[in-house]
Amino acid sequence: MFKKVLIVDDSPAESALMQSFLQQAGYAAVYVSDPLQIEQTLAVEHPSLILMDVVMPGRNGFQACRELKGNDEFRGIPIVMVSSKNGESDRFWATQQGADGYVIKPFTGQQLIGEVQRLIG
Amino acid sequence: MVSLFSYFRRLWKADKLHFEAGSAGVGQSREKSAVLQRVFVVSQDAEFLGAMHREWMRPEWAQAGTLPALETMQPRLDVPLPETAVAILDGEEGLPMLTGAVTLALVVRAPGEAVSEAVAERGLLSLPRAEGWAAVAACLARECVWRREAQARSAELSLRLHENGGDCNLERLTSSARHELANALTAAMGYCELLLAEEQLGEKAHRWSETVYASVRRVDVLLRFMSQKDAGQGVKAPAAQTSPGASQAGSKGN
Repeated sequence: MFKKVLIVDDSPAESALMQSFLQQAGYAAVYVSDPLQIEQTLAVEHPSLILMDVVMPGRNGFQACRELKGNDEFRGIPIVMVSSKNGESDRFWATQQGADGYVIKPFTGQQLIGEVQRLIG
Repeated sequence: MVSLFSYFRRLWKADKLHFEAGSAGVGQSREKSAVLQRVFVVSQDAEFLGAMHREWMRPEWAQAGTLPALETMQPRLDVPLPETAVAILDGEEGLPMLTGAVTLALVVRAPGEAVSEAVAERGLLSLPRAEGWAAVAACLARECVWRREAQARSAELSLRLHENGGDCNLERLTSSARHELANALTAAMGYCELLLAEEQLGEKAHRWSETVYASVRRVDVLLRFMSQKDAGQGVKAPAAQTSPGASQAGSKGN
């Protein structure tokens, strides 16, 4: 059975790209564009990992990560932040919010899948 | 004494005791800006000078902030006091030294003597030489020095705040541009990779895709290099990968 990855990104082009990389690597991918819908989607889809964009309208990725890691129901799901912010302070901040991984945009397929494999195999 | 304080407070509240902050200079230390404010005691009376010195040198005030040394002078017609002066005058003998505006001029008059017309006309503060006069005079002079210093520091901080505001705007603009570029590059680079992985892609299309991919990677490398430089990390510009396969062979995997 395919391991499922939830992509949270408000950009359809980037989501579709990540979806393609994941499917090529043998993962199932689901996608949510509205960061306020993450919890509902998690409750239905039960993914093994979340790929989370940072800059999104309504709720940014750091905020969403912090809230999911504070939720008993979802804190066990690894979260990989996918961001164009590439400073050490950004990585540090992501870690502080409970993120398990960090991929910098623009990324290669290998970089993205490498991070996913590191966390869920 | 109460009325003198009230008068002083009224001036203070009405912001009439305003000092030119610029003269202290931007970026100067607390000590330097305090030194620019000079405090003169104009008297020929050793007892007067001694009393002022004792009040000025009280250790509790030395701890509260930096104060310039008192400068003592005899009344002289040919020596005008500078504009930045705080002047404590023993009687009216020193009045001719006040040729222009000063920060504060305080005339200490003889006990029981009324405020003279000369003093009243010029709107100068006047204090009877009664018990505690030196403490009041020193207190007023100190407050003037510290207020001027605070104004200089306030001007300096306002300027820094303004400058930092400009830096922040520029940084926001750069950060926003970098973000948009990174998003566009993610799509361009990623879809190129997917295209190159297509088995049915013709030879020509494959070659062109490789060219596009190499160009996009060069922009990516440049963007990362600039971001790192921006963050103050001394880095060497890495060589760009020209095809998705190149990253397989022990690349740095950024």
